[in-house]
Amino acid sequence: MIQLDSLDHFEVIFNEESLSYEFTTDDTIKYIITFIDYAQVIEVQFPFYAFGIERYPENERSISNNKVRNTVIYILSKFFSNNQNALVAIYDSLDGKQKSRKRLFDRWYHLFNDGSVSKEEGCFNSCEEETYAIVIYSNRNNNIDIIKEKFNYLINQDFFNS
Amino acid sequence: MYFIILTVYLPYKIRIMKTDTSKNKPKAIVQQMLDDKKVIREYIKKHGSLKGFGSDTIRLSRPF
Repeated sequence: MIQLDSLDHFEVIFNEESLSYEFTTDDTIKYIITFIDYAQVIEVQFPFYAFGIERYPENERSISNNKVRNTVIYILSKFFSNNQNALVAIYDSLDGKQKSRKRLFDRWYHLFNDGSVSKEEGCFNSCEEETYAIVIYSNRNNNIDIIKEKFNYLINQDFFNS
Repeated sequence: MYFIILTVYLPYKIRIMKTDTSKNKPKAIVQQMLDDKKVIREYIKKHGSLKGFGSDTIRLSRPF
């Protein structure tokens, strides 16, 4: 198990104006991380966010893949330092690469999870594409049952069945 | 909870549908998540960052 403290990562800054976390790689690729508050939408009384990660320019990739990975893991470790936070993410499927993204994240999850968090996964059809979603929570979260129930409620629907 | 919705099609057909809003709610939530994601992506693609981004419905937050 790799120790999160020892991870070599890029400096992360919080942009107060845009309410997003950002880091820039040595080859000037910018990553923008967002947490959108959905607690009210999902009707829960605890922090529940959707996680997003965007890259600019979109089609360029940094040569420092591991350091990018480490930085994302670092951000998530900070997020779960509040063990009442819950996070949902939908793997982007616009380019048809959602399975690759899921596999990549699964690898990261198994590599870095020290047992302090758990996840639930699901998939649904959106615009005739199989789309994957994940919810992650600390094992010390007081609302695990509700988190699982809400996630399953969202995912286990006959999406776009018309 | 049910709503009765009247829809009018040319040439003036009237259709009455019953909508179960409780079933549509999770779909609407997931669709909102997908739409919000797309809006943010498109903004970043155009502007290079989220600087100047504003939305009444997308609640960007600072959880740590």
